[in-house]
Amino acid sequence: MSGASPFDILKENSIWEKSASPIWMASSFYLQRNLASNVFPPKLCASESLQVLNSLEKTLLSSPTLKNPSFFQMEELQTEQKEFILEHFLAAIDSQNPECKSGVVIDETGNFLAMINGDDHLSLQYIDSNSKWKDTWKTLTNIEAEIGKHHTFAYSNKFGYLTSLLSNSGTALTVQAFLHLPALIQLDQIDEVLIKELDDEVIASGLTGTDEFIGDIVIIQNRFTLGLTEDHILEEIHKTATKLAHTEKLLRSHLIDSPDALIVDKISRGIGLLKHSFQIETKEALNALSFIKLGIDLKWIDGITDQDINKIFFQIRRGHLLLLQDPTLPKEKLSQKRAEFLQSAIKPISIKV
Amino acid sequence: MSERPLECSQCKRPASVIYSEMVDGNVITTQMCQGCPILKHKLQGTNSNEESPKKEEGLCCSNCHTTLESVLVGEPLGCKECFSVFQDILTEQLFETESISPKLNPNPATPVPTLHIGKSPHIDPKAKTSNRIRDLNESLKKALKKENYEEAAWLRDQINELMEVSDERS
Repeated sequence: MSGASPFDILKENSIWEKSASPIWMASSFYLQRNLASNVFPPKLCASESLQVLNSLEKTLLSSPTLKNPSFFQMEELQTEQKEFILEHFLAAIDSQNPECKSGVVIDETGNFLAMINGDDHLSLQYIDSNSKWKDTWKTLTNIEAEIGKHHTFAYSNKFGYLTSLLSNSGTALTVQAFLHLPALIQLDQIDEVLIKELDDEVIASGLTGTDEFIGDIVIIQNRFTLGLTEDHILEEIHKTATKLAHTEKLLRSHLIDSPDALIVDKISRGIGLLKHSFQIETKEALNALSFIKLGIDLKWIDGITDQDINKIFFQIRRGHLLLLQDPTLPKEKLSQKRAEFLQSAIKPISIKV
Repeated sequence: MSERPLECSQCKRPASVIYSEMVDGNVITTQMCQGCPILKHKLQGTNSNEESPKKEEGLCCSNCHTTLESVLVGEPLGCKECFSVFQDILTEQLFETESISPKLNPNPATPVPTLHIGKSPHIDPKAKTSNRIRDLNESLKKALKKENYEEAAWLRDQINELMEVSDERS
C-alpha cells in the first residue's frame, strides 16, 4: 500500500468537477469478472480470499494503462474513508462475506476504481466526465484485457461472463449516464418524457437507486446484461441519455426566453435556504444546490461556476464532509457543519432575475 | 414513474402470493412467488420435501457445495461449476425474473442457440463474430417464420452491427 490515503489521492479529483456539460454530468462503465480458478467471493474462506486479493492486486498495480495505481485493503480503511470512496464513485464497495478479505485499487486520475472480492472477484469501474464516452470505454476494456492476460475469467458460452448474482452475468456490463434534469422534473414533465424515451432495455433511477430524483439527478442505465452485445448496451444508453439531455436543453432555452415564475422562485428559495440554514441534511442541500446549478446555466446566477457546484455536490456528503472538515466530528454536529460549509461556499453568489 | 412491482422476498421473482400470519400477536406479511420453497414450507410444514420430493432434490455443486435450495431462493452462485450443475434451473430463473433481454427470445419455450451474444475471452474475435452472426441468422429465420417482425428487426440490427465490426477488422 502506498503512504497516501484514498482521500489524499481523490480529494483533488472530484469527478463531476471536471464535467464538460451542465446536463450530462458523467457516465460510468462497470464490468464484473470472476476468476475461473477460485470459488466466488460469497464462498471464499479467509486464506483463499487473501490469495485472490494479492494476485489481483499485483496484476492491477502493474497495469500500464493505470496512472500510479494504489491498493488499499478494506479492513485497514476507516469507515469515513470507505464512505468517501463510495461517494466519489457512487458505487457499493462492501463485501457480503465477513470472512472474505477485500480491497480497492484506485489511480491518480480519480476516475478508476477496482473492487477486489466484493460480490465478484473483480468489479472494474471507469467514470467519464468529459464526454469522452468511446475513449473511456476503450480504456476500461484495455484494463480488462491486460488482466485477462494474467488470469482466466469464469466464462461459459451459454451464460457469458459468470457472476455470483445470476442477473449480472452475460456481458456483466452496467453503463450509467448521470443527467441533471431539473427543468423536466420541476415542470412536471419527467414522467411523460421517461415513458416516451425509455424502452424495455433502459431504466431510470435516482442517486439512491429508487425513483426519487434527489438533486434532480436521473441515472439512466441498462436493465439487462445478458442477451445483448456490449456495443448495443452502450448505444442504447447513449441514445436515451442524448434524447433526455436534448429535451432538458430545449426546456432551459424556453426558460431563458421567458422565465417561469415557479422556477425563479425555487432558485431564489434554494439560495435562501443554503445561505441561512443553521443545520441541513444532505438531501435538502442537494435539492437546493440543484436549483443553483440550473440558475447558473440559465445565466441567472453570478459568482460561482457550474464546476464549483458539482464539487459541492460531493463535498456535502457525509464521508467527504468528515474528511474535508473534521474526521472527529460527532454525528449530531454533522448537519450543522454542512450548513456552515454551504454558507461559506455559496457566499459569492448573486441572483440577477 | 410507476411503483416497482412486488417482488418475492426470497428470490426477487414477481410476487404472486401475499402470505400473512400471526406471530406473537403481530401480523407478519411476506410476499412470495408461486414456486417459492418458503411458501411450500409454510403451507406444508417442515416435512414438505419428504412428501413431494423434487426430481433434482439433493442437487449440489461438488466444487463449492452450493445447494439447489439456495439457488432456488436466489442466493449468490458459488463458482463457475454452479452454472453447469444448475444450468436448466438458472435458464428458467433468468426468464422468470425477466433478467434477459426479451428481444433475444421473448418466448421461453423456444430454444435459443446461446443466451450470451456479447464478447468472449481467449477466442479469435473474427471466428466468434462469424459464429454469432450465424446464430443470429438462425434466430432471424425463426422470428420471420413466426411473423415476429419486431424481434426480427432487432436481430437484423444486431447482425448489421456485427457485420460492420467484422468489415472494420478485415
